[in-house]
Amino acid sequence: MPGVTLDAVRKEFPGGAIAVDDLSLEIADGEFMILVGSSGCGKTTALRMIAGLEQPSAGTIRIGDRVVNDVSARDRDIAMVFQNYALYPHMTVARNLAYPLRQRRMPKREIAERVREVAEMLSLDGLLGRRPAQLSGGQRQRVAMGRALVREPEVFLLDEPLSNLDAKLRIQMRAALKRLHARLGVTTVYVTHDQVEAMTLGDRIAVLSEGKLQQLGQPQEVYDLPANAFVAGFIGSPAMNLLRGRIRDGRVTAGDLALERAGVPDQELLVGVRPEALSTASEGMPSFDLHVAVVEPLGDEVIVHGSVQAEVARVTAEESDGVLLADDGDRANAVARLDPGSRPKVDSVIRLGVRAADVHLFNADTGNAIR
Amino acid sequence: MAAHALRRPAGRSRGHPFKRIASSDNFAGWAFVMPAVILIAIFALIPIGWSLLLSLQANNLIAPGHYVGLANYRALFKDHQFRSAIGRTVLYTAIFVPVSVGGALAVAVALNRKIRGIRFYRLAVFVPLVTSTVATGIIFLWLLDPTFGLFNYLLSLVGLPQQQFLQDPNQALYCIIAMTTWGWIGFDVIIYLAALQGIPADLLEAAEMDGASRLSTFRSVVVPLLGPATLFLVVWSTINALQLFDEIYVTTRGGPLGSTTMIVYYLYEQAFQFFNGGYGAAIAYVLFVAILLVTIVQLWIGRRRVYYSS
Amino acid sequence: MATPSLGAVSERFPPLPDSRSRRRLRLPFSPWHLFLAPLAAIMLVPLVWMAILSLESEPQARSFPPVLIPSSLHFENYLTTWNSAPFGHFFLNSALYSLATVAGNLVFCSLAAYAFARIRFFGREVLFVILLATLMVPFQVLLIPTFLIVKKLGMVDSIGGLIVPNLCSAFGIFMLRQFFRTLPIELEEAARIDGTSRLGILWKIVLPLSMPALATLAIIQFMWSWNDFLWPLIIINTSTHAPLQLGLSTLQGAHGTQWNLLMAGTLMSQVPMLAAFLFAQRWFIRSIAFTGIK
Repeated sequence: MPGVTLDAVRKEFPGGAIAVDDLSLEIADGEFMILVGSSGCGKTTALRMIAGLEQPSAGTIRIGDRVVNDVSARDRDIAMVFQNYALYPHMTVARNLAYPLRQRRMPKREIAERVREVAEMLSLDGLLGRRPAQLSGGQRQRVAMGRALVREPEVFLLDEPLSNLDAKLRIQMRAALKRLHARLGVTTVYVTHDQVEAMTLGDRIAVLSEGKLQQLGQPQEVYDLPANAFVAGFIGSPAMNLLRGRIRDGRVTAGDLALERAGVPDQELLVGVRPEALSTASEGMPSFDLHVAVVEPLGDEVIVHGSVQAEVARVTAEESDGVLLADDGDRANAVARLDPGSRPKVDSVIRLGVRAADVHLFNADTGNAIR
Repeated sequence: MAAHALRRPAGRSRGHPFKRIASSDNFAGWAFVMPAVILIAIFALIPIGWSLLLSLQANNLIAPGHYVGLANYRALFKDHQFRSAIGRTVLYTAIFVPVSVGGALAVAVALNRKIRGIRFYRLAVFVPLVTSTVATGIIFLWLLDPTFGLFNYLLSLVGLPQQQFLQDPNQALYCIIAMTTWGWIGFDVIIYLAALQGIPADLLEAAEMDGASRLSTFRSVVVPLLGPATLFLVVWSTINALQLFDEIYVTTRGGPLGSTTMIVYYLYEQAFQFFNGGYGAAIAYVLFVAILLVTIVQLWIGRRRVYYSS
Repeated sequence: MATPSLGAVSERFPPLPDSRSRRRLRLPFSPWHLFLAPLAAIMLVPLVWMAILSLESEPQARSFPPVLIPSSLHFENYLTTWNSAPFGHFFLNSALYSLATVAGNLVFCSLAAYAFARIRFFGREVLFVILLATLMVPFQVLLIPTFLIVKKLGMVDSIGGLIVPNLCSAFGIFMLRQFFRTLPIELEEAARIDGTSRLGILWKIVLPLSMPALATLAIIQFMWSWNDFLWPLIIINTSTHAPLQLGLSTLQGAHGTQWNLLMAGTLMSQVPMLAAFLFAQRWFIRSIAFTGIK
């Protein structure tokens, strides 16, 4: 089973918009690769180019060793699950599932056999006679997947397949997808804007922003060692706290947080600390004050929102979802995840500490990580 | 326990349920519909009934008529000319409907592109729709003129023999078919275009990914989803075809040799040239019943075979 | 009501049987032009031909082979045609007929449709079904009795006889009622609470929100009245009372073989409608597409 390779792929739309810029990606045979990023980052366009629904403006796309730039979508032996499922509304589930096989002129008996198999695998057996309009969202999603699976394609493409499902169903389907991939081992490319899906499903994830690849790596790697401030802020929920700061003579300062970091030249910085890396300050830890604004008890932990003394760091335009408090001059918003024992009071000031090794440094101009 | 009088909510009148609707609403409702009701009663409801009565009379539209029972209808059944008119109307309809609806589908598919000049092409297809039936008739009278017409000229350029067209009893009806298709196809195209654009793009992409050729996609996905539009157009075109009149009047007056006398033209002749008002009314009623039956049959077939997306 | 945006799935070349490689005929333009251009020609040639003929002199118009490019443009044909028949009257009558029926329909259909949509009154459902049933009946059934009624009212051979039977159409009521029902009722309820009369609600709230539907009705009715032929044929005897299409057909009788003049007349009679269409295409097309949505 071949992998997929994108080599310096670029997509420019008439009008000048550059959806994908110099994307190079090698997806190994049997790998579950996730393309993740916020809307407009080019992930769907990249997926559609692999599918053959869009033509790259430059670069090559390979499936296995075959260059497929000029091969039409129907001949690429790829199956795709669309975001809105794209089920044929006038056909029953059975006929929807059978459709790809009928197009390939498979003998009827074999078609019936395969349809049965797939229906059983996805628990659709009772629904074969129904039309899409009579199915629930989750059932439709499974039919869409079934239709893709029934062909036993070389590559499996999924375009935000879970985004139209409710939260509970989403979690169930995530697990089901993972089991399915483990069982079938088909090379899969999966697009999502949800970083939780990315982290939980992917063998490797590719973080994209504005058409460019920001980082490629295994989920844990991307989490632990983000390549730049964008990735740092995108992966992890709640997002990493990013504060403006600087390093002089090996001493990092950001607001009232201070720590030593050797071997890094003087420069303006973005200092990143994950909410989960924060705890009530103890001796010897770099620490800073947090003015508590909102306390969210979750049972196994407490999420504390507040402000710290610092300049606010602006990384991307859509960064501020979940920000409850207005920035106030020389204070920045920060979030901490603390253990349930600590129950800070609103409007109090708590001292939060972090291990020096858990502090990420990024150059303030380029956003690139500094190790 | 003492029985307490049920207190009715304020403002609710007692007694007859119909009076519970606020009387001001009754008044307002009827006041609003009154002009429409009067007009439609006078010019539609009464004529429907009167027409039936007329069909049972011998009436020359000038003097009051007298009742003759079902004589008109019996005469119709024996009327060879009427039967021929029916035959011609059926022939016309049987060719016109598939040609114009099928042709419109092909044209709509072609017009559903984003190529240069598409706006011009679309306009070109729609413009004949706006010209009146009279203008269409006059223009085609000239185009098909055996001596001076453009068509014969074009035929002569490719070495084909000259035709008599509207003056040939065997060709006239087909000329009318061509003429009316030219004039009306724009309507069908507009409907189909709108329907085509209502098909979600990702359905077509899914079909492509599923390995369907463009032809196969068209047949298995597009055409079924156009079912409602097709049904509407077939019913609509049939109803209009059965009622064809204007173009015939302007071009052939039912000739040559009666070869283009269709039902409504025959009605016109009978009622307004020979002053057989009752007879004309009977023809009209037969036509009415025929249209109703044909429409019902078409809708019945359509309901069973057409998929309506909810 | 969605505007047909007249642009759809992205353009692709139709694949030839062997689509695996790019061994396709690469024309400098899309192959669809090969179908669309002749089609456009077929649709437009009759009209263009009419225009050409109208500017030719009589011998040229009657020559064979037909003269495609007249040696001189005889604009005076138009003047001659105009004077040969009461064209001024034709236009005026058509204008009156169309405008009056449009106005009548807009007013009466709105009133009735609003009542059917929003006012609960005794007998509403039954009345509506009856009105709807009249739509099923073809005009030919109504033709003769309507003629007799108009005769009784003394309106034969007058513009009144044209207009009055067409002042209100059941189709218009049906269409507007469907549309009114899609409007959010909260706006009207709020106004009622504020004490606005039903008429006030219709005028100030419902109608302004219904512009697309009203425009559709106006356009359809206008087109219908302007192009109407059968009814004027039955009703009108005097040429000065004739509307345009009827007048045009009498012109045919008068000028029988003077094709250049006849074409000039035809062109003149079509210009208003053509101009209106070209000017307001989107509205026309929308309106026509709308009739399909039943």
